[in-house]
Amino acid sequence: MALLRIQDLTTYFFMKQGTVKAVDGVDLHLNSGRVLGVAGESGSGKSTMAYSIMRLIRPPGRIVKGEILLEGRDILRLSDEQIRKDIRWERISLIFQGAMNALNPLITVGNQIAEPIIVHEGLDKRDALEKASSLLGSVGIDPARVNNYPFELSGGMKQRIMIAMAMACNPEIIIADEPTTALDVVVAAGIMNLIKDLQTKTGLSMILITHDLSVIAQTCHDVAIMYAGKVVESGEVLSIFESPAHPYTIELINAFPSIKGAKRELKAIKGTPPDLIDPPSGCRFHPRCRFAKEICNRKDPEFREVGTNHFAACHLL
Amino acid sequence: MLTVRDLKKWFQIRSSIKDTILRKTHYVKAVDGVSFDVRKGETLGLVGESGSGKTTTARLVLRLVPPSGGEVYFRGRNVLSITDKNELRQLRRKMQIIFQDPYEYLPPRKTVQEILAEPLKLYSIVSEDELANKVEEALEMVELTPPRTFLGKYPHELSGGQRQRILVVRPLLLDPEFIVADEPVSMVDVSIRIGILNLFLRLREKYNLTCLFITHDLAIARYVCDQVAVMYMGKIVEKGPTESVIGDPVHPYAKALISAVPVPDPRDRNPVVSMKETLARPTDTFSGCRFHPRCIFAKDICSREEPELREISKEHSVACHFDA
Repeated sequence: MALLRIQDLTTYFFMKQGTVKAVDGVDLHLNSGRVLGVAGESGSGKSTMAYSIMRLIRPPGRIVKGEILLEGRDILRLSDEQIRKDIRWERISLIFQGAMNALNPLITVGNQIAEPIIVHEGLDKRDALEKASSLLGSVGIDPARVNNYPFELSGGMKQRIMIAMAMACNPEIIIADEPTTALDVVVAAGIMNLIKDLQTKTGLSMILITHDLSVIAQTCHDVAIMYAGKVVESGEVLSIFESPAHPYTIELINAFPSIKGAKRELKAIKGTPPDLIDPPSGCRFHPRCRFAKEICNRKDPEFREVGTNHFAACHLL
Repeated sequence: MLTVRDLKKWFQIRSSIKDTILRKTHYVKAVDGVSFDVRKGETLGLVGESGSGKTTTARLVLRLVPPSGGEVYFRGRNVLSITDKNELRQLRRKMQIIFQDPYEYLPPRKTVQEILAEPLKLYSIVSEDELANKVEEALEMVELTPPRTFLGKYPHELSGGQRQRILVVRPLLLDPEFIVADEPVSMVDVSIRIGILNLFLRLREKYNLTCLFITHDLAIARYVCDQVAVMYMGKIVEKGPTESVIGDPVHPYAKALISAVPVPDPRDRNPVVSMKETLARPTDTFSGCRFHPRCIFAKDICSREEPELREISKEHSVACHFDA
């Protein structure tokens, strides 16, 4: 059952130079208890999509159309007040990119975790701090550190604090935007294991946004590949990696060197990421596609089923 | 071609009054006794996480940073002892660097033409009329075509990938023998990375370059390097042929590091070899093995004696008391 269903989400940024079509008609769904990976490079629209779900888009950005159904109820129709009170932190939480830098340097981590608890759960300060303390324990940090300031902690620990904060009010959905970028390999692996553990234990549903296909391969149940503001392919992680359908997905998978497996020459994806103000006509990927035909230039391909639970938008399928 | 012996770089840090009275000085031992050889035509990867000392080592090798100790020999000549300015200048031509950050290492107020002509002019490599040709040739080499469209552009008018290509070709204009590549693709988008790495491989072959490749990304190290040296807190803990070290690591840190690298294959979900977490600071003075506070196999001897780098099989060395 789809806990979160995104339909035709379209978010544009109205800039002086032109309109940036950051997210341009995205359909996605997140099933309860599963981790959905959203993969794409910078400029693919994945972060903008996350902020759109959280209604954090501010001018010159605007959600132009679409629906985001949380258990059937369109949260895009809710007022700012309702989003703030009922949705953010309580039902959906967001861990920002570079989150460790988002911590307030002047407030102890305990108080920072306690804040959403006080506001949303109505606990008093002491009880909230106690809960914060135990949350620290659940993310693998010594609960006594509740009185530490951010500068006293390492990058990995700060990221764990952000996870603790996101979980503070027991939301149903956590969106993590590049949770391991800027972290060392071993620390990142620790964070990914923590996220997986918490997800299995609490049955949380997650959207994991990353450019790193390896992270998706290791932690996600389902994947959506984004390119130039659109979802080009989606499905279960095994299907996507074993039988990728969209040319971009195929090339992306082949562009990732691995420490295991046969050593082979990897092929670069020709061309450059597209201009979102003036994207290519028809299929956005066509200028870089090895298989492009005439129709690809003219018509935007439909997002169609190509296998069990496997969808892709390509004329050649 | 390159021999490094016991290279050290210790940064002194400010002491408290108490320390000054007790005559205690504290150092960050960024590089603390690093030795390796790079044979002609080979690429050695220095891999490690941030703070391991890999970038500082690379800069020491090129004499971009004064060392605290040790020796660097390039083609038999002691690089660190050269005092003659001219000789040093000629050496710099042969030992070059590709920087990591395409946003920082290109002068923002010079055009591509000027940026690429500069090294040619500095070393009077070609005559004035030949300059334009040579620059265009360079642009073709890194697939920035047609070259004419790029000559007049400023760095901010280029994409990250295009800037990185300029960073790659610029040192090659001097026809060097040895190149240090400092994380050359970490700041570039994933779909662009392989393009730049493949380009690097082609140029390496064409110019028969010997390279020192710095990276935290083991998958990239595997793709590009013949030999790898894994660094931890200023020391090499394991080194040898890439396939040996990455395929079958022996040192507990190398094991943990390599097992932590996610593989882009959902069918291969292996458990991560763990390390204990620590808040050890780089300034702490240690006895024994640097890694022992985090090592799950640590025994008594590990906190007392520092292990030497010992060869355990063909060219594969490990610094661990339990390397059997």
